[in-house]
Amino acid sequence: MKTPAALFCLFAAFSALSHAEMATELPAIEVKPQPADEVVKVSFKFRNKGTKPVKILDLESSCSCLSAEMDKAEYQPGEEGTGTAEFKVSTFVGRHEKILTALTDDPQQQEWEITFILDIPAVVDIEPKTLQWWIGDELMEKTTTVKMNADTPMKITNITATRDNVDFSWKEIKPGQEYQVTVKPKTTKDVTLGALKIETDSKIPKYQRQLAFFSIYNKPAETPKVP
Amino acid sequence: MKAISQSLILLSLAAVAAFGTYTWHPKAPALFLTQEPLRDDEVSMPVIREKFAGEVLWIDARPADQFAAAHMPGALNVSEQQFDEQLVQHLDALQMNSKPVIIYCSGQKCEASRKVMERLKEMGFVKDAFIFKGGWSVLEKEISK
Repeated sequence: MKTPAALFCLFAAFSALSHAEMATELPAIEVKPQPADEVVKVSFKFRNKGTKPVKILDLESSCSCLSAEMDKAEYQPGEEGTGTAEFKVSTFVGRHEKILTALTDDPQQQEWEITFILDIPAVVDIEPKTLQWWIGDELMEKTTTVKMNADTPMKITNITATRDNVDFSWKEIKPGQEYQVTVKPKTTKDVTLGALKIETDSKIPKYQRQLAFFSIYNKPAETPKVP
Repeated sequence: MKAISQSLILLSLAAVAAFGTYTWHPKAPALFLTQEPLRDDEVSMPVIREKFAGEVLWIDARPADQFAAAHMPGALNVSEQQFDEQLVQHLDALQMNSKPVIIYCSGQKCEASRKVMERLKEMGFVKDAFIFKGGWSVLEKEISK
């Protein structure tokens, strides 16, 4: 009688004490694509810092732009592993945090989150990206600044608007580096959503056409909530 | 009789261990599953049916290849990655729209729908916009019913 109870207690104590703890070497993995990169791959190290083996059951990403795979499915206590993440740069710019969740067989760490910080240089920076007027506003000019942050100068070669409801013009502030685009609506009576297609002489195809937007919209009364 | 008493003792020990784990363990699992409540800016299919009578404009925030494979009827594809290029194709539809906008991405873990909603609101291109909780993984089951 005493033997099974003692064995049970030993087993229970061992189960309670043993644990898995998957962790990366760094709190976040930095990914820094170059301006012309379409896809960037990064490898990262991690370790099972716990006292029992862990199986990676699945990997889920917070962004369809980020995918990853691990070098094996199961990691023994103390074992180091390597993961490979692939990020589709597309038209992302600036700093973005993306989370990869590894689902494990460990009840104490069912979801292990791996943080990636993506830092993509803004080769063409348009600020503000959208020029806004409210319905009924005065027909005032508004300007947006286009900054070229490439290694070599870039020029605006042409701008077209998707709507006839605006007049626009642009001027060079710093040759090959900075431009100012001015937009003025012809009327603010109707809701209008439009874009300015800004063409540049960049040698990198994805920077040859940039978009800025303009909107004439109803002024929101309050933050919408589900009725 | 002895076997029964031994079984009862073992069961009691197991119950004590389970109770201890549930009470003191920091990551003890819940005793039963609960449904996470909707946030202020989230909707579910019953909410869409009840509050909007199903009259909504869907925006699919997944990448173009996933959108091409399947999507909600009438949905516009505006993903986080191709935001500008895709948005410019849907300016007419958004300008004409007067329905609530419901944005979805692939599933529970994705954040693209929220990012797209924040950008559209910031730009003043949508007024009443909400996230569909659970994303395409839930919608896919809904439309196959």
